[in-house]
Amino acid sequence: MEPKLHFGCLLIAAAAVAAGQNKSAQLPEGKGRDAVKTICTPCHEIGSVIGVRRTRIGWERNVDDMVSRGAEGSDEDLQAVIDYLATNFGKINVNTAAAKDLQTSLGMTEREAQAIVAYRQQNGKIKDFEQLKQVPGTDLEKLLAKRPQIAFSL
Amino acid sequence: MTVPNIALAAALVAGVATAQTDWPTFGHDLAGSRYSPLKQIDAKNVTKLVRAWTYHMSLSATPTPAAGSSEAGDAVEGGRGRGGRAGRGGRGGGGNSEVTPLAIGGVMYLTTGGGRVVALEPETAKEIWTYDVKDGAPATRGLEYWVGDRQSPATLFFGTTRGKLYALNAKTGKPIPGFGNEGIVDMKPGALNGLTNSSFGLSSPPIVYKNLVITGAHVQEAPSIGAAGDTRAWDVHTGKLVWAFHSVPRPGEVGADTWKGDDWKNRSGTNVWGLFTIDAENGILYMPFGEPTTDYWGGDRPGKNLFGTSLVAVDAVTGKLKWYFQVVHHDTWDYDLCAPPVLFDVTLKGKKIPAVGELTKSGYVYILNRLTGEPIYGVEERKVPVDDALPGDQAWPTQPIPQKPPALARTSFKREDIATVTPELNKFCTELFDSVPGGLHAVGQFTHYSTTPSVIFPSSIGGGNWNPPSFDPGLGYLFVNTMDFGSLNVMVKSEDGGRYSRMGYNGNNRFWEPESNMPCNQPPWGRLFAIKVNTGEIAWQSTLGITESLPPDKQNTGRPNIGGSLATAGGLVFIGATDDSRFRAFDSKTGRELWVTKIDAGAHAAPMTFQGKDGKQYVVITATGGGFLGDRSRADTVIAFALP
Repeated sequence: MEPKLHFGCLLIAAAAVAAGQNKSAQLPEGKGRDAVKTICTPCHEIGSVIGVRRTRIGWERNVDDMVSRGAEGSDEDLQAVIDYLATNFGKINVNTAAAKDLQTSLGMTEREAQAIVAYRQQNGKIKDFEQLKQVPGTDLEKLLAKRPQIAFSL
Repeated sequence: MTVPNIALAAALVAGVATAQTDWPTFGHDLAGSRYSPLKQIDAKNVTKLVRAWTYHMSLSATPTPAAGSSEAGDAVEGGRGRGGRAGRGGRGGGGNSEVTPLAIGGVMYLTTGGGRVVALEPETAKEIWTYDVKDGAPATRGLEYWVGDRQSPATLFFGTTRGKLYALNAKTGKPIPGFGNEGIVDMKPGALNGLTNSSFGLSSPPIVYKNLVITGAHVQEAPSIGAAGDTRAWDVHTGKLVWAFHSVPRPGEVGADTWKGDDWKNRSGTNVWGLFTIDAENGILYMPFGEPTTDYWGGDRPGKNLFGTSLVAVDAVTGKLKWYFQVVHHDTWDYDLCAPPVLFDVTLKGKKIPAVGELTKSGYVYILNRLTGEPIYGVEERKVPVDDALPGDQAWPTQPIPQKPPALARTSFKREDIATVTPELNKFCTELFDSVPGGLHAVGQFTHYSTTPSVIFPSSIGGGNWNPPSFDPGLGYLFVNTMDFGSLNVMVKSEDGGRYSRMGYNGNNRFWEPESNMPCNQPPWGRLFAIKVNTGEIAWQSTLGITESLPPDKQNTGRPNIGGSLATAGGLVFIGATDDSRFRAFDSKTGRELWVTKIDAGAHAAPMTFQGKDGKQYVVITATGGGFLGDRSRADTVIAFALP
């Protein structure tokens, strides 16, 4: 049987982290933080901006969408917004990420990351979380803990 | 050509001096019927439709000729659509558009996601002229055409993300010098409440009535203080302000007593970011207002908060209030009204009643007498939860629920409603629901967004959304699309500790599995309805959209959708809207899906139809993907279909 209770606890932990980070709806320090404040918060609560994780492409598209709805900033500032959000509120596509990025973003060992790269080279695109769990050489607990940060497309 | 009586009636309602083979305004006519008398394409031949042309909004020129098949290739995952992203810095995003093109007198007009306004030869999509909007992006849902008079030429009016109102000569594409400052009115100064850093623009087209061009407002969700969401009317010749309707009433005005103290002052939101309609015969403007700022916490605005989330009727010539109907009191769900209020007549006990139908994010269609605002089929002030309101917020104890038609979207959620579509989805959603002791917060209709992670149905994006309905006057059916879709959020204290701000939960803000985009509630997930306006009953309903990743026998789930429909005298309802990159035609009478075709991306827009100079009927839909449904498809296309 799957570690249901455990998974539940992890979800709570993850939520607590997300909520904790933003208990006062604060943005973590980092390059681009001011640009996010200047460009996004004239229209939205910061919570509605960072409440969702997206891949880098996802953030790029989201920012494009916001620009078509009136977000204003120089190309440089908008790029800073994308970089900041992708770094701090990102998701990583296990089908396209380099092994190195899987290590840094998902806390995998080099071996685990290589196992994913080898698997997708051999079997093609990993469809969903269920399939990811079947990849030999990965750590299920780690994957479950990082699930909100794992993407399979874009 | 024979013009049926229905068409003549529609023409009279519309009061637009253009041919019935045209599509002269966003909703086809001022009444917003989105009904065309064209019937070359009908229930018998609709399956033969092929792609006539594809227009790429990010490129200058070169429409793609018909490929001889109505099937489009899949949009390349990870690609950004042809032409890539237009320059940022206010130039408009990567082709994202919700535009309904207009077709008048043999020319097609549209705003593009690439930051331009273009005139096209409607049979080929060949560019006649293009106008590059330098100051912000043109409104994503399109523009308005005015036929002109002795003083002014035929004119196109549109707003921009930076609050400019443009008047272009429809023939040449050049700004009209006598309108505002060389063709441009700066709408910002009169709306900013003296603040400098507030966002103000237009995302939807204005509407023209007599000598007035009437504009809404696209303003912030937060913070509370910001630009006004007033509706304003400008002289079509000069751009001079003629009237303004205060969307948040000021002391002495009707509705001022729904605010405490100075809470009304400089309050933002409360805006028509969606679509207007007009009863031309009676000179009445219908305005669907959004909710006041901020969206999910009303602790600094106790009261009913008029004209937030209200349908308001005013004299179109003077802006003077006629009546209002508030759909959500003290809204803290982001249940903005935004769909165009569709005008039609209801025949009840042999008596004809002039009516208006408003689709809401909260999941209903309100059918009201359009002269008085009285509900035709009754509305009950129903008790709703108050105990779960956020600290400092005074929830309103009742909400007005229509007795007919019934809810057109799921309005509450219980643990036993968790999807069983696949074992994996069921497992994910069950664990998600149980991840909070006692389960996610969900206490029935109008559950509040709480400090406990909450599941809210309908979601903050509906239910319905700005989805323009369509109306078949022969059948007396109003066609509306909705989604059965929930929000997943937790409220946290704001930085200064004085307010509450909405966060996602677990990196997700919809009640779904965010990688497969499969909702956590049992299907249906998206539906198309026909409402019999003479009884208030549902004539038929159908799922709208498929979940392609499921096995064929399970795909018919319906899909989350934003966008609208088109009804024709050919007995058809055309609609895109779903996130499955498809365009469909349904039988108006029965609701049977007669035709479906794969298109370049999700069509989160509303289709139009017209008859070309070649005598052919064309049906046109904008498809760019993206938007608020997490739609991963992306393109920059406007697509036309016709019979071979």
